[in-house]
Amino acid sequence: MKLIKASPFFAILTIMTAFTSSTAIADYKLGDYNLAGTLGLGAQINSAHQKSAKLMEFEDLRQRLYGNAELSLLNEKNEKYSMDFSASRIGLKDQSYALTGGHLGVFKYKFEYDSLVHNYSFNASSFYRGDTIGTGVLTYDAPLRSENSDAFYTPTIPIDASQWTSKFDYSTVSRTYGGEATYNPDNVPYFVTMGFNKVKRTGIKPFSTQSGLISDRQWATTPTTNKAYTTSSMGYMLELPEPIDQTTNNANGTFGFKGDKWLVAVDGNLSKFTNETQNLVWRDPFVTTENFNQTIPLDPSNTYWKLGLQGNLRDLPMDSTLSLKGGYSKLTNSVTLSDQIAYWTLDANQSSPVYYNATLTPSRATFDGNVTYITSGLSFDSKPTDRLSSRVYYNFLRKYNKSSQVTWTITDPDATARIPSAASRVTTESELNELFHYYKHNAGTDFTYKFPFHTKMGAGLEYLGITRDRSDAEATTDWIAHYEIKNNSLDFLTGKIKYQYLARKSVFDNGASGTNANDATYLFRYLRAFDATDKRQHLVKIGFDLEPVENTGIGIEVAGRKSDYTQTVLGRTKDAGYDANMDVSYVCPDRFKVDLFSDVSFTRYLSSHRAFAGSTGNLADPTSGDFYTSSSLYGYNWSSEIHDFVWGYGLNFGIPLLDKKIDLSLGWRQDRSNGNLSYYANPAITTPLDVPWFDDYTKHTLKASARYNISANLTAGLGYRYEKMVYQDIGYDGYSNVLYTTQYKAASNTTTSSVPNTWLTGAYGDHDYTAHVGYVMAEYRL
Amino acid sequence: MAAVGVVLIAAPTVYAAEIKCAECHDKTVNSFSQNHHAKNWKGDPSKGCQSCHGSTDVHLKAQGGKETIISFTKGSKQTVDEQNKQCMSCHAKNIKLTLWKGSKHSKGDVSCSSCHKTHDTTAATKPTSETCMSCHKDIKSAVAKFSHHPIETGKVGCMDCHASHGSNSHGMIKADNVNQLCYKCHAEKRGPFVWEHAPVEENCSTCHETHGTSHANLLKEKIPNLCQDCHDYSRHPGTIYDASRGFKGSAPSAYMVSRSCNNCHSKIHGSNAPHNPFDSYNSGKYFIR
Repeated sequence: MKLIKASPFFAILTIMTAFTSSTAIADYKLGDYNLAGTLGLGAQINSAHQKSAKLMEFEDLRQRLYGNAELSLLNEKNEKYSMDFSASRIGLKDQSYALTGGHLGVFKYKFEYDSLVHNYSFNASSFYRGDTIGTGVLTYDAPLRSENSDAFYTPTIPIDASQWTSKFDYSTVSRTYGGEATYNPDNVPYFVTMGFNKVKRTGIKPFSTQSGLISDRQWATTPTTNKAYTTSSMGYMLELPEPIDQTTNNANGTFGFKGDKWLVAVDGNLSKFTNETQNLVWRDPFVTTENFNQTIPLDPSNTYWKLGLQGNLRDLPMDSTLSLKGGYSKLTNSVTLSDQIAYWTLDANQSSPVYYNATLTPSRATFDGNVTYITSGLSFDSKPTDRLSSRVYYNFLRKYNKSSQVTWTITDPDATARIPSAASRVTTESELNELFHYYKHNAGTDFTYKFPFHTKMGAGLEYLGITRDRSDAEATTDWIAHYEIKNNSLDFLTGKIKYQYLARKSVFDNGASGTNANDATYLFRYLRAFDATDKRQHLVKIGFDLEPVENTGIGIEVAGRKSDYTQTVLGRTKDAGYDANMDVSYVCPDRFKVDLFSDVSFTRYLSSHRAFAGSTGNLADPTSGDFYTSSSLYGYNWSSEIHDFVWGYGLNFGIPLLDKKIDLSLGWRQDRSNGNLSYYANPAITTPLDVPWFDDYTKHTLKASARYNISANLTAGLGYRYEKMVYQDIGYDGYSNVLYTTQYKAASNTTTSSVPNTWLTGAYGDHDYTAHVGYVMAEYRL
Repeated sequence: MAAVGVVLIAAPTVYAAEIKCAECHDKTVNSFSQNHHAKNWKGDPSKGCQSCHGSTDVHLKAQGGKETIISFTKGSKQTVDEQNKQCMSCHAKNIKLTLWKGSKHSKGDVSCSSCHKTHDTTAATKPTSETCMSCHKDIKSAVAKFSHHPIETGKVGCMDCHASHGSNSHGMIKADNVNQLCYKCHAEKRGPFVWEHAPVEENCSTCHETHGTSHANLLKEKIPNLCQDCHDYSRHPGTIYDASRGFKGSAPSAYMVSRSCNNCHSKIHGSNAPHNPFDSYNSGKYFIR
């Protein structure tokens, strides 16, 4: 065992050598069943082990031994009975097992266990105590400081992240256990399917929030008035490790009757999601004069169930099929509402901040979530002639939200101490949550007609109407028309082209927002959400498949999309996307195969915005003059343009050697992304800096593998993978765990810029890597 | 005859008619014998190669040729409809195929044999995501992008979400709508929430491209711009977050670095936290708690 731990490769080779001495095909039997299949043992090494989560995002590439198995049990008396077992990557975090079987044409079953690892980020660090990382209560040990308004703040937490002692990985594992069985004999008029699975997800995931409290470094006296005032508490953020301990139990069943020309079935689903950690409590690092905790509710537990009915009638006149479906589902939960929220005020002298949990008065103690979805659908497909086929359909969806409405009321306990003065403040305010409902009606028709010379033409028209209870966009109506033509009159060429046009019309409800142009909500008259505003979109797709010579395939696909948001003054105004994909493959029978591929996509987003300081004299109206020239330092328009250019290319090559005893595969690809964000504003007001690195990356991948059939029952496999990722982005370039802001000395009105306003843990900051991954595998065939 | 001998030993399910076929197509017949079809037809003398390929008389006389038989490979003289009719003559009653005729694949002239290897051993007959992506090149390109579902590692497959034989839903998805499909795996996003984010409730695809993008979390557009496409207000978020706000800029800011807007608005899919009507900076209404 020591040897195996020290050198997995050597161990595998030793085992392979031992197996090589046994070359006869064994005859394994279990009663009436013959056992066949393969058992494999492998080992992997990784030069970048735990260095970058991006390399191992959904894979466990730790240096480990692992196993594979593919086993079949076949009943020699009745071959219609079978049982198969497969297991892959045994012993690793991404291992999976499946047992399938049944009786052909009568029943089948599947039991499975699957483990899905999701690595978000490795080697994160935090000043929160190690024993609290991954729990629902995060705290740290740091001395408190006394308030001194004329002293520069000195953080009590080390601002040098290398001194943070808690190191951890952001990673979750989802383990799924379950099974499903179907009884569907050919000779009985009914069928039934039952299934159950349990998904258990554990680990730590990146999470973040902002303090929301005026930092005890951020209250001050202004240089001009020498009166206490506050700067905004916005943007005082910190990254937190979110504990993940969630379970989802799912059950499903379908029972139906079937005939030669019809089917009717009822189906049901029940899904219960349980989050073991309902709240995350964290000590606020922006409050250093006391140990002050805040609380965030995490993903709520819930129960979802659905009942559905489906049916169809086939072989109706004109070779038609009528299909119907309907569903009723309900999503519920019950959440105890917090009646406290972190808050702050100034002391009686208006000189020091005071932190406390303010008592809110929610109108009810629990939030009872109750969301209903009603769906129905109908489609009628027919083929009146060999040349003509048609489809007419209608779908309906209603989301009805009958959840609790909660009025949150708060009474300011010390309004006189707040800034601005009490005269301009109310002492009690309340807020009511809105319940979002919507209806969707979707109907359409399409036709396809086959013309001579292997030419097929299609056309369709679709309607989608959405009616919402939403304050800014009451309704949208989409009309989508499409035409397509396909021709394959030449044996070696198939070509197709499709054009689609979308016209979206919206009903907008914010046209009277804001009492006057100095009011920030006046902006809403011009602001449009891009998913719910007027839109015109043109889409074209062209594709070719060629086989110029035997065993050679060429595929080319080009698509373009251009959208114009015709009603929008503020928000996304235009977008466009162009994609091209091409591959060329050649197979030399019994010799080799090669595949070259390339894909390119270009996306462009244009948007317009207004920077507005929100005080009297600074117009919120973006149309008060020319878009760029009518501006002041506190009320000006600006626009942005994003260019995303993503492309990849590579080749795959496979060749059998030594009379097919060795299968050799080689693959190489390069993927690149180049994003740019540019701005335009009146240069007299501001000259924003364009962003040249907007999710830019270059990834090189080289793969090589060989399988050597040593004997009739032994195969050796060897693989190598080289990957290099270089990621550059404005959000991570020059990554630092702490950002700073200006602090004020209250009495002397002097400033410095060393107070932390952002505490990060390193999440997603480890995308770059260079990795050599190798594996060796021995497979024994039973 | 040597080839026939091998077939007989390794494939006990082969019946007499297949022996003739195996004289030329020994590998195919051998592989077929391990297949579901062969196992299911065992003992039924009326079933065999001719069940799918039709009469072989002309084929035998002509000593081969795709034009002399019902063929399912490239160069077949049968139309796709005719090929598929052969399969549907037995499989039409399959409960998963009842919507095949109206499906996009059927109308797009996709033959059953494009995806199903009817001669292969049982394990190899099932289509994989690679099968789908041999036609859907744009999707193959998308799943290789920076942000993606674990499709290439085989943990998520096309058929987990799509009913390739037909569905009454758009995109042939296995749910009534996009959100109900996503919620099958992402149950933690279901809510219900006191504070809902309307586009989240209406359609996950408004912000996410499920097959893969070059932006984190399968987002269609990078944040903060994606958020700013809908949100503007006094001071924030209508401010320009330009290169000066990056770590290397003159005014590094949590508005731009790391996850940008999501740094503070991390509960963007919905929140059950209280709202402070006086001071919204730590309120559920703005998805900060």
